[in-house]
Amino acid sequence: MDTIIGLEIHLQLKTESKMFCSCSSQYFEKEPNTLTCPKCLGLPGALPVPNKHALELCILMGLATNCTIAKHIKFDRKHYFYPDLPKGYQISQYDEPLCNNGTVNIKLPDGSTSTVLIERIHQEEDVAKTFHLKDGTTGADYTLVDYNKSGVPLIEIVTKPCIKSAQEAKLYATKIRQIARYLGISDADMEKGQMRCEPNISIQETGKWQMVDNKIKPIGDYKLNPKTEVKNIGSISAVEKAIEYEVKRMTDDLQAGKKLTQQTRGWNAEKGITEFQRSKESAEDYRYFREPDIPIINVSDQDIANISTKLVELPDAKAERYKNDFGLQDYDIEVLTASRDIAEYFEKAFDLSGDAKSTANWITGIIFSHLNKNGIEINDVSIKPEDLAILTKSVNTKAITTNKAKEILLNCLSNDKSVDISSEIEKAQSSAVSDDGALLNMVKQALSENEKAVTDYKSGKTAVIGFLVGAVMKLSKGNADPNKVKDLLEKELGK
Amino acid sequence: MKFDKELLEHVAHLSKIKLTDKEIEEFTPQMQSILDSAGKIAQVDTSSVKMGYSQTIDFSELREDIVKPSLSNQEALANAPFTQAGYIQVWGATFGSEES
Repeated sequence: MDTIIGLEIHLQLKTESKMFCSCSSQYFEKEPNTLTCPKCLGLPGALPVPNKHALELCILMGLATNCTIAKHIKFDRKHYFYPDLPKGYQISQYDEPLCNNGTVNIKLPDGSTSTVLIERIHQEEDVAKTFHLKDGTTGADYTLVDYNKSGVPLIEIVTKPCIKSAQEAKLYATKIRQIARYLGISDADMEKGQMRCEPNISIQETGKWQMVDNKIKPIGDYKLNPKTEVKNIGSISAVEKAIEYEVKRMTDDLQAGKKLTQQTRGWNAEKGITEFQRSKESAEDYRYFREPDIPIINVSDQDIANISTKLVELPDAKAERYKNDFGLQDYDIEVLTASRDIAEYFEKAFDLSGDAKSTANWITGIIFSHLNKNGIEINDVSIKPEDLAILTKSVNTKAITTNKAKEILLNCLSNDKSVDISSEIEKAQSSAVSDDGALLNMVKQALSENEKAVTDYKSGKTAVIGFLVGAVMKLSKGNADPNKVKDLLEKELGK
Repeated sequence: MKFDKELLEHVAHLSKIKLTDKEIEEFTPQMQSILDSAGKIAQVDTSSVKMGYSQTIDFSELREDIVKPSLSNQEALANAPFTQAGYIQVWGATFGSEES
């Protein structure tokens, strides 16, 4: 059996106002129905007026994923009856999406790269928030509706059915979230509903189907199995789990001789299962037609050029540069490019210190374990890129030892308040045993206290020098430079 | 276009309304006659008419992303027959999940 997956991802755009009216789109944790107007309440006679910035952000996503951008923007009405949609239709785009035929590369665990084909990215509007309840006395069903979310700009990114596994789907969703956050077009927080993933899944017998123009076609008299669409997925990891569950459910049903039907199912995160919601409506049931209230919008080359200036260096390009210019390892590159904030932190610290490798090591090592332990973001730490650069330079000029730098860094990180790294380094230097006389005394003390090691060294077991360096470091309370200690020890032992 | 009982039942399902057998008998020929009547427009010869959009605007003319005051909760709910705690209340079971 082959698994064939297409993914629809909705992203809420980070705009100030809604898609077709001037109400605020910042609806999170606001009192219900306080961000509405006749347009987003769908009152008769209200005219939608498209938000330029929202369309710019949609185009930006299209450019970042190598899409072709349409020369004209046309909106369509998608009809269905549900209380979350006061107009009785959603303004969306049907046959002429804004962005077409893009690509996104994902890195698979075996190190190879897979290209996910994007069919389209279109602009639409979000719907209201609904709560389904039961009346306490009569038991009658009712729904409470909050229209604050109604009309918030939304884009839908649709892939071709080219994804082959649950894991690939998860990696692709992660990549889309990463790109959206790099571009700053969406916060893409799935728990807050700013990003929603809806996989379309089908299983087909190996060798009985083929891809023709990116559509699944049967070979011979094979009858294709219908697909299911899964909704209500609340996290990136649930994308993988829901697909795995659904593939198993369909496989089991087929083996038990049951007939599969095209349907929409909901992911139940608590139970870890998908549940039947409804049999899927077909496109013609939505009775799409052109939105007559919005004129066709011309998009010129100059408009695209203006929007292009807002493109930033994306994770793939960054990763390549870090590898070619800095010779960083794959793991470090992955960590450093995971978010734009981390990459910018790294680049700023590198610009000031000129040492990419050490900077990368500090960040991926001590700083990252601090972030993970405390569940905080890079911009929350008390050590700023400027501080890290000073620290790196101090080690490189041998003003302080690596161990001392580590100690300072750990100390500063555990201190929430802002730190004065220069004064910390000065303090360390003043307490450092750089006085050759004092250090030589410690070396002599260590040698006299470890006679066996000295005998071993002289009989040819020179590896024992490490033990002796350790002994001196202990006497100096970690304040000596281990290289200098080693030099002095070798000199003394050679006498 | 042929409009039969099955199609009527499908449209009723999409419209979230329940029809009795009597209504289905009654409405099917009515719908057929409405469709036939509207279908006459398709018989007009439009081969010489160029497809075009009545009006276009330039991207730069679109609305800037600036927030303006919204209605108050009281104003927003003024015409709702049922409300509860600032929400608009809708009676009856609604099925399926949110669309987007």
